Amino acid sequence: MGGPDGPPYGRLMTNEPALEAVGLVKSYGRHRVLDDAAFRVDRGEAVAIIGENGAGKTTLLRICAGLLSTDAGTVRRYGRVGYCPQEPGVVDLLTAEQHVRLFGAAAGLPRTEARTTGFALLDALGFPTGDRALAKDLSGGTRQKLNLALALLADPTLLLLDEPYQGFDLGSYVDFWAHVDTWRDQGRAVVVVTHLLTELDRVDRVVEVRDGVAGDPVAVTT
Amino acid sequence: MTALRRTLVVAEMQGRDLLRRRAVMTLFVLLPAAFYYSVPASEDYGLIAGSMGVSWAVAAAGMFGILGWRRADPRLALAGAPAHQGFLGRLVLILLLALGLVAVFAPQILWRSGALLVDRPTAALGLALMAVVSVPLGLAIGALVPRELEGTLVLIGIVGVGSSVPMDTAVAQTLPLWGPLRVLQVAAGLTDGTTAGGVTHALISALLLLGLAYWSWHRRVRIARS
Repeated sequence: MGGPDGPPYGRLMTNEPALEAVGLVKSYGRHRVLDDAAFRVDRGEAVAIIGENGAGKTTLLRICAGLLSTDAGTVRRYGRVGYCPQEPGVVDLLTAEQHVRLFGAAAGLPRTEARTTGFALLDALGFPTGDRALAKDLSGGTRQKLNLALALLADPTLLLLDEPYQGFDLGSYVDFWAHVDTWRDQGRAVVVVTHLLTELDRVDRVVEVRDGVAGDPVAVTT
Repeated sequence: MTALRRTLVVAEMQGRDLLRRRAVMTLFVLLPAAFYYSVPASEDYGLIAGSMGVSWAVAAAGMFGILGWRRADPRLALAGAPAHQGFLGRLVLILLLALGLVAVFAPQILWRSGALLVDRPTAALGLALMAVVSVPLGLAIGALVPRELEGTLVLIGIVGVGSSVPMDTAVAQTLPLWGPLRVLQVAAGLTDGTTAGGVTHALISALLLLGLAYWSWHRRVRIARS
């Protein structure tokens, strides 16, 4: 993916930051999860966050999204944030269409635009848009597609995705990484928490969370 | 307009969510009836039991309304919905449901226990106040506790203690349901007091609980500034 002489894929590469996090400290009781962690993502860049179980990846992502407070440090987000949690943050007894309306209204989208955009996103992710099933009755992977579409609904500049492909079948999983390329090419900053090290060549940088520190970016070679 | 639309969409979706919980909604209607009809019509305790049933049902609806959305609410806030709009939408919906329940249930009490009542409109007022106080009570519990089990136990404690502690004790007067119960006592001629004290207590309790519910809710869905 991309050589040292030029921007990968000839994409829109900017040095315009989408997210800057400095000096992040977070403890749960006596257990310090993050200790002076720093993290930056630019627009048009895809970054993978890796680390062992319990290393603090999800904590780091939630702090970056603004969903979790820090004990110390600052986070600057530029533009709208789309966040896809590991466990679907959806309402069990609503349909996909109702979720699209609800999240669209939250984002200030007119009803028609929310439906049009939402269904286009769901369709692109392989969600059966004619399905009027409640979220609780969807399969794990299908539910996760809804989860992911909701993160994208408001046209975010920064996408924070916490293992968003949970339950995806192989085709959907392959498509997901193709979507990451597309989102990045559109100038979004994409951050993916992942355990699947075989896919690290799909991103521009890898950040490892270890001992509470978000490690220096590791250049990805092909 | 966007603010109003957001509030209404949240209320609509909350309503859809609650109405699809068929077992919950059945219990919502049957619980006050079960409490009330388990006491003979000739006993004035039936009024207390029926009103407590209303409180149980309404507060539980508020609590589950919040807890059922605990994963989605922060995401809605992140998507751009200000906290007060999500809260207001939920409050309006639960309040309408609560007053609807009273509209269905109060005539049954007024008819069956009519012989015990010296002032029927005041009895209806007492039931309505019970619903008005129980809505923010349920919302506050839902916003404060992490899970349904803890919330249910807290609700059992508050409603249970409220119905068992003698009304004239200081402890009873610190409980949120004292005001509506006092109004019902006046309606049944069980006390020399007036309704004013009970109404004032109920309204102050409702406002304090509303403040507590919103504060807790806001903490839960707050997005850290960047």
